[in-house]
Amino acid sequence: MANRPTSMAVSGNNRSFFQYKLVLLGDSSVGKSSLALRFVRGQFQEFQESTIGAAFMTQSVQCSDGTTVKFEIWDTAGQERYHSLAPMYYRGAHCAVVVYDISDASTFTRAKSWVRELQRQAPPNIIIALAGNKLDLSHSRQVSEEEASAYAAENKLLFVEASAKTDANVKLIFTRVAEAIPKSDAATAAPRSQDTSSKTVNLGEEDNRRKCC
Amino acid sequence: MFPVPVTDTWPLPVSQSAASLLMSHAPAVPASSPPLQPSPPPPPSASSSSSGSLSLVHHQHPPGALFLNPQSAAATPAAADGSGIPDPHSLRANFWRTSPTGSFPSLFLQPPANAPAATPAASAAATAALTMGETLEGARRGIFFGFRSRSSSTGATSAAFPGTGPGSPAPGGTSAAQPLSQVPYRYSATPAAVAASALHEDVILESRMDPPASGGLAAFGDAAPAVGGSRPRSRSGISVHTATSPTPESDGGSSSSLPFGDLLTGVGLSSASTTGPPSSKSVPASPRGTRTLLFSRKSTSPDMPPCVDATGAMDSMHGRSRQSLSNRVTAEMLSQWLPMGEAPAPGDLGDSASRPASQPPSPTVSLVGGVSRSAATTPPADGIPKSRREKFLHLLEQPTVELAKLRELSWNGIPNDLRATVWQLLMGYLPVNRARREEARQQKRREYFAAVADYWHDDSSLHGDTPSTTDSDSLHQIRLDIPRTDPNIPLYQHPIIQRSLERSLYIWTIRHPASGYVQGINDLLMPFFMVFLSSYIGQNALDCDPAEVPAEILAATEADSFWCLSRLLDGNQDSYTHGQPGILRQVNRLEDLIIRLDGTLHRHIINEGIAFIQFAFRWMNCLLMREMCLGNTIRMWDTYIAEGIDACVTFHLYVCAAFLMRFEQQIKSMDFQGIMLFIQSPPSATEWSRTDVELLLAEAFVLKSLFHNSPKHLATGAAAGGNA
Repeated sequence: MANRPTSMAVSGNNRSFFQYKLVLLGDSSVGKSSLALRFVRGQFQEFQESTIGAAFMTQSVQCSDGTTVKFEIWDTAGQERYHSLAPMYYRGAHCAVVVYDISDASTFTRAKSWVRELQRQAPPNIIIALAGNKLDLSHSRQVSEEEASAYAAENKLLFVEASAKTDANVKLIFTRVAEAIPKSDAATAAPRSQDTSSKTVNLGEEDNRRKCC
Repeated sequence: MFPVPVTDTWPLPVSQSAASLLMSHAPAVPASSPPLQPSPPPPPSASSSSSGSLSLVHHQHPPGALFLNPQSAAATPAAADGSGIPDPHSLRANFWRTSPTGSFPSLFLQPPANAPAATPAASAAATAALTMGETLEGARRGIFFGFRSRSSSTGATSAAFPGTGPGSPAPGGTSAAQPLSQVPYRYSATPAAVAASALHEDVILESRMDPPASGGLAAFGDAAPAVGGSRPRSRSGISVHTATSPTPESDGGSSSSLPFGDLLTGVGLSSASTTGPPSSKSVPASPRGTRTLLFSRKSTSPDMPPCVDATGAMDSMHGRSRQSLSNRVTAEMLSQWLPMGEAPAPGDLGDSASRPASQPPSPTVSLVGGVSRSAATTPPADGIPKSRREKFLHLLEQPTVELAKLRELSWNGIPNDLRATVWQLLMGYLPVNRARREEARQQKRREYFAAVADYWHDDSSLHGDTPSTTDSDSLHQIRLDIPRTDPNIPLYQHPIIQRSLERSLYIWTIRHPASGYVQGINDLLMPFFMVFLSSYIGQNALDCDPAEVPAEILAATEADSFWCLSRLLDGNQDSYTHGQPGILRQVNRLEDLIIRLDGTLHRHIINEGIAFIQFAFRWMNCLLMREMCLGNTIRMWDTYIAEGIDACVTFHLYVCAAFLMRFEQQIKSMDFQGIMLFIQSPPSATEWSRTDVELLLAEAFVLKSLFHNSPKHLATGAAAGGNA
């Protein structure tokens, strides 16, 4: 199967442009799509249609070292039933943002299980960020910043609390991730082939068939 | 006993109470009651009434696309309606006969050099016939739910044709210069021809009725047994649903041989079920028993299969009979679930006190879907010509509805005001026997609300106590998702509607423990809810204020939607079980189809690093609802429901293939990022008219005709046997 050239494609001029695959994971309705939409389009909807399967977006950020990082964002569905799809998206990812809702402790528990899964099954050098969303609901907070921060430090995760609704810290999440990825060995991070279909397509046979016509 | 209703029409004054809804039969139509219709459509513009132009852009298949053998078209007899448009079935037969190699690859013939000039004419003729029949009319007037629809004249390549009246055959101008039967025939013209032919109701869409070959069954029908076999124990002992019967029965299926006959008698439906619809004369006889018979068999046992089964198990779990359970719905219980908090007494007919004070005085409210002849006097807002509407009415007025004929008629769209009744009949929710219909309906509604009374404890706070700990996760998820169901539709945000949707999804979840609630099922409930509510209140539900809708109407809508959603998903259950094997299988089949239809397109998608599951998963999970506006979805469902309960597995696959092929050129010109962004928000969601949808359905019909009984012609089949 032919594959796209590595998603790490360093563009022609002076290695200032990088492209990474980022996956958003987390429990249902914690605001994965909202964070992505805020980051990509600067929009927010109070009621965001549930994501089925996954959604794809791209957005670029400028890093402090002058490089530009373009993220290919895979926004996954949160419901447990869709869990079996997640490996397809994080397997070839360079970075993952695990999202929880600071006003719902159960989503933090789920975020921890996502982190464990990533540490176990994702590419070993994947950058993981923990994002506590819905900072605007801090009056009904159930997960303290200290607790989450300590957990992040313990597991070597980036940690940001943000609000897609108020746009607080949203870009910060992605900028931190972009700056945390080691640019030098980026090209070895993940070949594209891992996230394409596992199905084998026999191109030879197809070529034969077309010759008949 | 219930007196036999005089007609299927059961309009009630809104003053009548929920008790009348639940317990009574239909009173006669008050002669003075003005029929409620959707607001009159805007007058067609002068230009569109005299001529029309249609998008043919999707017909521009490049070389390498699927072409039919020119000789086959030349040998094709004209359609039965004499319009010069080839009968698709004959076309197919001739194709196979005249195919030079007799094998499938000959479909990939390059187009003859002189083809292009003729092709637009062929397409135009076919499309024009299609459009003249109804679709342009529909597009011009704006469909019932067409809040997001647009005019159809957006194509890059357009064919102008003189305007004729609805129902006219193909205009002569397009076929005069060069008869269709003598031009090289392109695949791209075929779907339109199919649609045009299908418009003429005497044309036999025979291939739609073909029984699946055994090979096809192996490939396409293995879903249900798999579910049944692998289904984990159910907490409530509910047995698995097997609505997708993969094996057509060779006999018509008298109800005495039905596996659930005993259950049917339990709900008092058996006599309706024993009356099979006589075979339509237009349905070709088949020695093995046709798909039509399969439908008939299923349909003659209207409330038989899955949900009654489930109810029976649910009842037995509690050690009480169905009847006793139904009888437990007391006024006190009604007060708990009725959205308006009313507690009508059983048998309380015509209690005007139950009407909300804000309700306008005495418009006629039909709780059975508004099967009313009088409505025909107002101009149709759905683009269905009056003559077709009359045919619907004629069928629905029969003592026993002939489902085969109703299916044929419904394939091309159902009038708005009849849709609720027709859907419910075709889905087997209502018995075909008119005399038993109302009683059956009331019985099912009682059953539903008995389940609600047992399992639902209405606390209106979103984070309050859940009805049970085991299902609290599902309820939590439902409550998260309901407000997020198509946020563009304000009606869905109304608390009354949201509680109603929550209840029905939760009860569905309780009764389907193998799958439970899965995101996306909320989407699938909405067409039912909107169609039924619109029908019962006699206006577009999008425009209504739920607070002013009588509680009994909302209750009826909720119960009917629940049952129909159950029927729809019963044929598709393993799409929502753990790992979603049904969807994965569908996506693989789609990929096989695309390999066959357009290997170049497939290679391009794969070479760009895109796996089909990355975009097609949602197509399968939500039946393309996220890719269409609600009005177009409802139109698609007319055809799906006419195709049969399992259409959301079988026919939908071909719709998805046709959908992807429709965007073939755009996709081929894009890279990974472009394709993903495009295909996630395709123009169909905002720009498609009813015509576009109907062409899509017609293309899917052609694909199904070609491939459904020939699985070995697909990639996996070829891979298995191709090297021999």
